Amino acid sequence: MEDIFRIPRLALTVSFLILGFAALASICLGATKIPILNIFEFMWDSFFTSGVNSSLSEIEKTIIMEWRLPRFVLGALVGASLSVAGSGFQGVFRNPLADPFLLGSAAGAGLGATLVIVTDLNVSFLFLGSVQFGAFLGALVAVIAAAIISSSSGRTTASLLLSGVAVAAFLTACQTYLMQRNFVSIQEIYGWLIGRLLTSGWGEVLIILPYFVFCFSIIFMYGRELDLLRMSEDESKALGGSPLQAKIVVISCASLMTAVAVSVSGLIAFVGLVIPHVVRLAVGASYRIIIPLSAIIGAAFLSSADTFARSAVAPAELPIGVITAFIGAPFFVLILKLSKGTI
Amino acid sequence: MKKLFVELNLLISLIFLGLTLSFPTFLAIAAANNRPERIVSISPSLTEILFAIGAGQQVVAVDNISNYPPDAPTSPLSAMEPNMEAIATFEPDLVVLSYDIGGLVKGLNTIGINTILLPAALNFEEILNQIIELGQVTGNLDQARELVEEMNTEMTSLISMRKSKVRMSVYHEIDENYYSPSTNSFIGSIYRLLNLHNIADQADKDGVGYPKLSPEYILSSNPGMIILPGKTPEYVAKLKNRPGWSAIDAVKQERFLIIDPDIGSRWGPRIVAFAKAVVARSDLDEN
Repeated sequence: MEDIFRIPRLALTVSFLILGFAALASICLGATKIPILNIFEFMWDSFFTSGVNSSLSEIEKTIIMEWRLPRFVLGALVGASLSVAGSGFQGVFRNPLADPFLLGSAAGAGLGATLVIVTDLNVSFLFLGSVQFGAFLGALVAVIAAAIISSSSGRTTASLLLSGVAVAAFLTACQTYLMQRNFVSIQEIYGWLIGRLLTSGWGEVLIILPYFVFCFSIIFMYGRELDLLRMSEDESKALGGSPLQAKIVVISCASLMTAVAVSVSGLIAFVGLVIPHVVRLAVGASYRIIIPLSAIIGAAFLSSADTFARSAVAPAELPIGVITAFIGAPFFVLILKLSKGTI
Repeated sequence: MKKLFVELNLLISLIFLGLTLSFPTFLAIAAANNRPERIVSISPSLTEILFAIGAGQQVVAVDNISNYPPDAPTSPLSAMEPNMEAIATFEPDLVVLSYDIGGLVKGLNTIGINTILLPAALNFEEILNQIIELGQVTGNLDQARELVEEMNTEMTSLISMRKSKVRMSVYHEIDENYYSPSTNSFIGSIYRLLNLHNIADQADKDGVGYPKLSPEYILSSNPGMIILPGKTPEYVAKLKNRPGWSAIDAVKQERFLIIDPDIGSRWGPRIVAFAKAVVARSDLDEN
């Protein structure tokens, strides 16, 4: 674990500060106006003392502890998962524009999960539940399909992305068809396609947490391999790397992370693309740094986007995917412009 | 920007209003001498109205979602993606529809088929107006007037029944994404008529009709009754288990109303049955 010490202290501190700020905003803002000082007092009491003397009503306490807090954690985990998966894909494919959404793996996960739900199949495998396993297979198949199609057409940055876009469009069409056939409401299909965070209590958080911890640890451990992959495969082997194994492991873990995130949040676009880039611009190109910092910044970004979605038009709500795409799409264009000639 | 949007909205509504007012009247005059005998309906709501005013005999085909009344001649015609050619094969002399998708009205008129376009009603009064209009166009005006009078009487008595009662607040949950119809939709507008406070209204400042509510807002506005279209007992059990929801009055008193989802999405004669069910459930003395 010496790798941890290579992360610039300053960058790490700043990232955690941003995440902490996002957490505070997420807990203090929302449709119900609760005085911020009372919230601080309540949080202090419930974490550091046994917390009985609070000026908050029972409903307000429930809103903070059972709605805002789990939703913050869920948003953070989904954001971190998508960002780490994005960094992983970018490393493996040596492609700065790879991301779970553009590669089709998010759409594959969606189709896999829907197939399992609609057909009521029992495909649980080892520690994976049926829905997660279906989503995982779908994500994996989509990424492999995109990789195969692109390698048969020149293996350039553009060909991988175009293959991914084609795969995603096809799978999303299948998914929408399935949902319509099964009389899911239009709102539900719409909500799924643009992404939303659905929680009540800690259920969804508990679903996603173990997968995140597992996959993050593995991708993080492969950070050095991903750095070696930035050179040619021969050079990488000469330096003691095993490129094929690294690719298989990282693609699998990134797919699994994407799959579980998508199964709770729908298709949230651009997070996996934008966050690793921001981190890369700020602290450099080493994946040993990009991966952990992407997790923290991704968590902060998505939970802040959700806070905005919950409070901007309160007591109504915006779907979170609208906000991430609103920020992410222009950013995507910016990256394209900045990297003119290299992509 | 917002002002421009509002003005644009107003302009569009005015154009719509102009169209809906002038066009059917014109058709009605034409139809008076020429009673349509081969009607095709591609709107489930209008199908219900046609059968309730005795025009059922004149209907040769209805779309694939029109399932009420049961003797409506359901066909594979799509209500969501209407296909002009498929409609024309029934050789209709009148097509009734609620959405003019892909220039359908113009297309049908070009090949000599009359159409009447009645978009989603926004409130009870508009439903009654549409019933009269369909009565005129199909030559069943007397029965249409009778139906309207009957609906009006029943609604008036429901309204007066509720007038003196406690003003309870209601939450109408379409699905787990917390979409809810406000007073700007026909189904949500019924609550205000019945002296009930629809909590979706505060979230619908833009008047879209179906805002997505923040879950904590639902919790803190403490609705006294929850309306659930087409939900199962398992759904209700899950709803009760949402954190903090056991403190909501509606949950404490088990004041849920599960309605036929078709009634909640169609503006037609059955809206009165819906209002009746709401009034019966909102009666505090009952429990």
